[in-house]
Amino acid sequence: MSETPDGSTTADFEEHRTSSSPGSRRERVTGLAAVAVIAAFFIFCITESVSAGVGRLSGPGSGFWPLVVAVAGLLCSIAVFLMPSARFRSAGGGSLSSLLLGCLSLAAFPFVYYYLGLPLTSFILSMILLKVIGREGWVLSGIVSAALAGGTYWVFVVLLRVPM
Amino acid sequence: MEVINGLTEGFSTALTPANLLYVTLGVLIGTVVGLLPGLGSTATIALLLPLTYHLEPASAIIMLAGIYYGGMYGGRIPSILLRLPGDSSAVITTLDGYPLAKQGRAGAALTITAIGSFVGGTIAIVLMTLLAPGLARFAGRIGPPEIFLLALIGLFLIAFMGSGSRWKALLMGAFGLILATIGIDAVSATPRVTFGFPELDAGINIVALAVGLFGIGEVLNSMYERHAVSLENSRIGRLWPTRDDVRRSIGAIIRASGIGFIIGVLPGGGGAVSSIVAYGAEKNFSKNPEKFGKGAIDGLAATETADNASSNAAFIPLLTLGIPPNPVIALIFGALLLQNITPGPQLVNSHPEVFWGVIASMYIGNLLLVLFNIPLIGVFVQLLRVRQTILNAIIIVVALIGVFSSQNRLFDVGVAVVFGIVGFVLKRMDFELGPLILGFILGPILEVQFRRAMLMSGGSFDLFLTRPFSLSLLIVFAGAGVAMWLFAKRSRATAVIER
Repeated sequence: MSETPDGSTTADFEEHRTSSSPGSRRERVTGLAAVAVIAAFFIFCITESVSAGVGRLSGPGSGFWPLVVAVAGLLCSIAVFLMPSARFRSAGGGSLSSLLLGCLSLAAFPFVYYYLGLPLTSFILSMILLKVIGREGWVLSGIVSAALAGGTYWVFVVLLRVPM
Repeated sequence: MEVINGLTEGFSTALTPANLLYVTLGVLIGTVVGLLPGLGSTATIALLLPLTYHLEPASAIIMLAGIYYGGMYGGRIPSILLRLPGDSSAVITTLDGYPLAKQGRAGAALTITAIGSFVGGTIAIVLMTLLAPGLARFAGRIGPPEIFLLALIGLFLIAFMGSGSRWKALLMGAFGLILATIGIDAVSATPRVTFGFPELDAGINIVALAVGLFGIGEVLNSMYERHAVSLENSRIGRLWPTRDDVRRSIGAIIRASGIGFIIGVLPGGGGAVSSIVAYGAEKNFSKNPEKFGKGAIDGLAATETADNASSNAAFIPLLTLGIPPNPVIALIFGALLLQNITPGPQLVNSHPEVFWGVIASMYIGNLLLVLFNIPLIGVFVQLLRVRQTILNAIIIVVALIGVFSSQNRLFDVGVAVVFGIVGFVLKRMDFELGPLILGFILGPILEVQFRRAMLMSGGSFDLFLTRPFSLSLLIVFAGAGVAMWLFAKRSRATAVIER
């Protein structure tokens, strides 16, 4: 994303062009929600900092620096919240189902790895990414997944001797 | 004499068969990963960080340095052929690189940038060799207030010199700083924001954070957008530039080397800033400024030369002051911390094999880059034809396993996944992730140095004003801030008048 000559961002121009469409309103609401989550995290950090003990300037406590940063972060969050460019850019024709499936696969990886180990888990994950999400053919998916599982095993376990 | 002795030791470290192999691998892997569209230098380093975890410190940093400038080199290939910059520093490359490719002169464009990058990198490394030891000695005399201010200025400059919204960049910097506070406080042993997870007592694993934000986040974005890049009919054409190309580029390369070096040393400098300044300077200097933006080979040479010169110069503040000047170097800083090495003024004495070994390896790596990149351009270009779905699978699997291998904890994999989702959301909202990672790395430095400064001064901020160097830093920072504000105001006024 680049700045235009007048200093505004391309995101600002997109806002100007499409501000009235339902999709645009959804983008804006999603964006504001995300900023609100960040702001809430900073507020949480402020409370944690105060309970950890702020101390004095001559002897800052463990909560002093996090408090300073969290307050600064909260102020920046408020500034961003008020900006028109605080929006989640949706991709025209974007695939939410692919994204969700990808996230679920990633979230499941540690649990599957715990029971099945490295090569099998890598193979399964790769097959999901290629065949299910990427909609590649079975043969290509199988070959690439097998190569990937074998290759990562060789690099990490055999070459780098990482205990897996 | 110190420099000669140091370089001798450095080359004796860098020229071992193992380290030669690592620098070669680093350069090759960095070039290959760097040319993949969407993965910039930061993502490249982040993804490959786990690989270096199991190496000796000098070898790890030698390989990472090779990956770093290899990634910079590789990033120019999709910029020129596809108009797809891998990161912000490659955006300027597209201005003249892509028009040259459309004219069937992609080969000449790629070669002249390789040569320019080599010259710029070499000049920067030579200057670094001469200046770094003296700078490390000077840095040993500065105290907590100065280090605090240098780190803070670096973070602010990254935010203000970025291409996006400054408030968003500052927010990301603050977010990185607050993430860095997670864990047990080193002074009071009080747990801070650990959510009850003992795995977070030592803080968030930098590898998990970086891989999640830059690697997994990018892949999730790719899955969501379902974008595909097409090599179209871009012909490489004749590889070697004409005599006229070389004649027009020589001056640009020399000038851009100096510009890139100076900017690369500064906190917040390097990358896009050096490319933009060098391009602008060359356009002012050129007898044919109207050709810029339409395939001016001197403009392209200046851009890439400055980029590589600044990439190499950026190691100076890392090795001598212990302050990473940009997000990529921040990750290398993180890699050194993983090796239990703290970069800073004491590095040249405590770990001379790392200090001089890295400098010596940069001579070798810079040479390897031009040796590989010119004859293998055709091979590298074919990699651009690999389908995005296959690349996504490779990146995800390597990323997750790499994160696990760093500390053998599945918890870190979970952290990487969480930050992958966070990185995806932030990217869709046009937040720059560079300030976040820089804030995360600089956070502990800022906190420790601030605490020390307050202890020294008894809680008074006068310390920052009464010490000459810290006062100078404040004046320079204030001046730079005013200059940037005036420049931005003038740009807006000019644009309004033109409309």
